[in-house]
Amino acid sequence: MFRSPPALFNTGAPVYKMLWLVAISILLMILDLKYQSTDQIRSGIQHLLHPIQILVSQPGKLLSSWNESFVTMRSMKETIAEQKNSIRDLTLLSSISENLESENKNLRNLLQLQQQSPYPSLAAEVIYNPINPSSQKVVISRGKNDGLLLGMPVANEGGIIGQVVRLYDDVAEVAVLEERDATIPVMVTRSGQRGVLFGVGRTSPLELRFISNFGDLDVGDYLSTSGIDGVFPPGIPVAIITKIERASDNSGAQISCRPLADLNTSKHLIVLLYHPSNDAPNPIVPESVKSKKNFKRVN
Amino acid sequence: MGMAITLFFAFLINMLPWGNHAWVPDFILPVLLYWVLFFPEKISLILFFLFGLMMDIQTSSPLGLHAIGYVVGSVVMFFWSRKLLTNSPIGQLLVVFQIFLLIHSIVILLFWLLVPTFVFSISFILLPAIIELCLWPLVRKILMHPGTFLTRLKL
Repeated sequence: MFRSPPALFNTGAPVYKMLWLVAISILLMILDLKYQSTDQIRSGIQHLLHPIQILVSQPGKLLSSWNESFVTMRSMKETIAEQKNSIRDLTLLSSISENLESENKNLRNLLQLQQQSPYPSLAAEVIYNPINPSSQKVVISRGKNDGLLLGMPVANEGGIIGQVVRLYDDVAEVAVLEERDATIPVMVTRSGQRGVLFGVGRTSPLELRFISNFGDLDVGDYLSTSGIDGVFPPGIPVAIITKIERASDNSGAQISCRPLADLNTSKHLIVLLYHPSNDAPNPIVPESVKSKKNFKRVN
Repeated sequence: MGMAITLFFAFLINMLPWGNHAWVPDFILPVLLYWVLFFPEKISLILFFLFGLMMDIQTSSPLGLHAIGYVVGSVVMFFWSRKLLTNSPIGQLLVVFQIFLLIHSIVILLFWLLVPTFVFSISFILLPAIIELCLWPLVRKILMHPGTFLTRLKL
């Protein structure tokens, strides 16, 4: 009569189980990276994790609010005075900008240019930074349910922070400008020269590429979004030029920039609900080309 | 059941806003290896796999990446577990350190293979493994009594 050995002597490792699970993981990775078809699984698990994420982010928030509640009278008075000053300045600026906006609108009407539609924005909170060696992301507390779309720009009071790269129902992942190969088309605010700003990786400066070696550039020039990509709205500050190394041949200059917004320490962000206008006219196809096409098909 | 509870607790510690630094350890690993080492007949690879998937979503990495690391690492630990129980504490530490290194290497290797923007640095493997090694005696101490208690619970 055979008996299975007692647990103490049962030393067989679950190798078959392991092989199966490894195969499933590899399949999942292929589906995820090649076909982007694991969104269902992802959003399902994310949905379960969301309340825990919110819960776990509470202690840090509590600590910071506790820290904030201990302020001396003097520093409080100082900040209030500062804020009063800045409010005065901002009110003045906003009235001027209203005036400019209406003037701009009239001029655009006069020249029959396309109107720039104003876009709404949405405040969001950073929940955490995912611990990921390959990328620099933040997870924010707004998602598909708040009307976010993939690719929407995210900013704070300093300037552009990044772009929404993955959407769930209640949260969204934002890729930061510093992320390797993150790109954003920019314009030098002083001279109007256009180029593309590239992320190089964590803690290294951004690089301005595709700009002429003899371009009108200087250290300290501000860069703002140019808006030609249709993803970022034009005119939002992005970075400041910190170093220019002009090459002796005409291969282009090496231009380092520093982002204006504090990418890693800001807690509150603004999502710009910018819908790029896709109402550009369709390209006109000449009759001759059309008939040629038909001719080809018939043949 | 006890395994799931303690792993989940470790996962909660992982979810705290640590910031994206190379040295941040994976708190699940010492707990996982503790269970494999002392209760090898009770482990469930599927549970480890599920925790790996949760970790992937939490860290926004390709789905299945941490899952492979956890499953392979725990099976390697399983092979070692019988011999290790009779070893001196220092020998145990050395083997556990190797397995921490192995799991981190698997994860980093997969990152390197799959994500084109990844830049390799040895600190991604070494720093978290060293910190996890420092956590190991602590985890052992904490889980020793609840460990025996929780595995006897037939929930």
